[in-house]
Amino acid sequence: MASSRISKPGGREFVHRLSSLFLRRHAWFVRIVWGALFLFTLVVFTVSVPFFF
Amino acid sequence: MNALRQIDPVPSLFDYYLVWHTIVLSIITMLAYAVAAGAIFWHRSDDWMAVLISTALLMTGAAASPTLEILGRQPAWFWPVAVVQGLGLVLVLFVFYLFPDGRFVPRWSRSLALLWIGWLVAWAVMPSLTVEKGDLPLALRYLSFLVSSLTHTLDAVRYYLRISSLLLVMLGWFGSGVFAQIYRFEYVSTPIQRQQTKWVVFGLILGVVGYFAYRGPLLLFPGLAHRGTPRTLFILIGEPISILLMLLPPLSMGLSMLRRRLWVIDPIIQSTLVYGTLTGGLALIYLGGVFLFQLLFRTDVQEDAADFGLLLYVSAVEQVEAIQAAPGGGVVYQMSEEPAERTDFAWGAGQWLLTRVRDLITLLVIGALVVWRMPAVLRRTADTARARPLASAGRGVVLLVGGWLGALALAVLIVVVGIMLGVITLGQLSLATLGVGFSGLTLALFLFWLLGAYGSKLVVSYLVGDWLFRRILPRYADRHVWVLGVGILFYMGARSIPVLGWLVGLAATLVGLGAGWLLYRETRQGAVELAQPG
Repeated sequence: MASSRISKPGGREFVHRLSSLFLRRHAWFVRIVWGALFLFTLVVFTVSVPFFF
Repeated sequence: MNALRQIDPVPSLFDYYLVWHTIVLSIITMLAYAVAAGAIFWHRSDDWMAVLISTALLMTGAAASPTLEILGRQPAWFWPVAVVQGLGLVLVLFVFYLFPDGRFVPRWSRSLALLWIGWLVAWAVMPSLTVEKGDLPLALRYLSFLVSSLTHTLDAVRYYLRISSLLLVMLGWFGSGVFAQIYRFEYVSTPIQRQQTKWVVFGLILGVVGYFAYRGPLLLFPGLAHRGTPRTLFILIGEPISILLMLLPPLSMGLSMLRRRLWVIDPIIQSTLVYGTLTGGLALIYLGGVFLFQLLFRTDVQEDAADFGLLLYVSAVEQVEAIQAAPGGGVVYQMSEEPAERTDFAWGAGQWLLTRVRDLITLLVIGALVVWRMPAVLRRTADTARARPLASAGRGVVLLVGGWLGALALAVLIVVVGIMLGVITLGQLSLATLGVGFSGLTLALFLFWLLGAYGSKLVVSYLVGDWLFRRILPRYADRHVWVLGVGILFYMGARSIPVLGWLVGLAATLVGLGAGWLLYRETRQGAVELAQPG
């Protein structure tokens, strides 16, 4: 295992487990939010191109 | 307003080619970043670090595009562009501090990350913080009165300072990010982590170098900011190289993930959750702040507003028909009577002579003051310059360049602190910081300029006068006033030669300044040695 140098195993493990749990349990929510951000960024970029002329 | 019109009102075919060149490269960059972001998210959406990196890649790819800067000037698109650019800049720095295990390494990078967010907020909010002349402290109001005829130049200087301060701060912060990655790679990472992150670290660093080495000169050097052969060459050669380097971060991330099994091992993420939430919160505060400031500092002119004043129009040429306004009080038209510019030889020679005489009198007056109040300093500085002319000139170069750069850095620091204080609503403290800071800086710069413009010339003049007197009239060599007076006359004579004179002036500035610096250093060292005997 490469993830060494754990100074406070208990707290670190807890937060990690919590974050993984959140991401797994609300996978669809995360995907929708991220997808929206993805589309938003692409739209902003696409709109910016014609303005550059 | 668009990129082409900014360069020239009548763009040529080649200008269109340059714009296409930039657009195609921007699209390639955006695609590479978006594809890498999508791939990382698709594979590891259950891992916070991977989510952070994919988001950072996505936003940075867009934020780095020059097209977004143009779009941001459209009022309707200000918000979306601010969100993309703000998030892109913040997240990419978090990647530098957190990659690959989600811990802030070194520890101080945590505080720097927070400072960075605060600075970005301040930067974005600042355009709305307009300061009225009446609000300024008395000293600044007086200063602004003194330079009111230079408003246009001042605006240009302010814009230049703003851009260069942004670049300097960004360079500083990204430099800290690069340092953090190198430090982590060398001292913190395990051998396996090193193997997995090697290419990513390499890619991230080269990406930052590629961005700054291209964008910095374009913004900072006036020769590259305006249309012309240097700018064209710089864009044609520099942009593809910059883009190639900027493509390395997404490429190396993607490859490391697929080939080196990055993140397949169980990474432990401690801070990302907390700091992700914090970033979100700060982004909200940022958005709220910008909204609030816009609301507070907006000027509305009603559609039915009317102007009943008198329009006074003064012009050097006939333009009566060009005046469209019809104010209630009527229009008064006046022809301005400017004297025609003199171009004949006698006039030019007279002007030249007048400048020289003015310089001579100034030098003589300041020289008299120096001989009267501190003859020993002048003599010792001249002795130092005679004993070590080359060392003095070298120190002079360092002092001259370092002095102005130091002043610039100090000005940036004062502005940054002022903005920070202003953003946390300590407006009075902010104005006081700016007022006291810039007054002190102005005074220091004035003294520095005085030393460079006159002090150094006096040292060299004294040196010349001393040499002459020792050769011709050794009996009077200890008469400081005569020595300096004759030296100044000879110096001004050499200074008046068209091209050579300029070089003489430069050499005098460097040698005089450097000798003063050497003497100051030696005196201080002597004092320290006396204070600590043995």
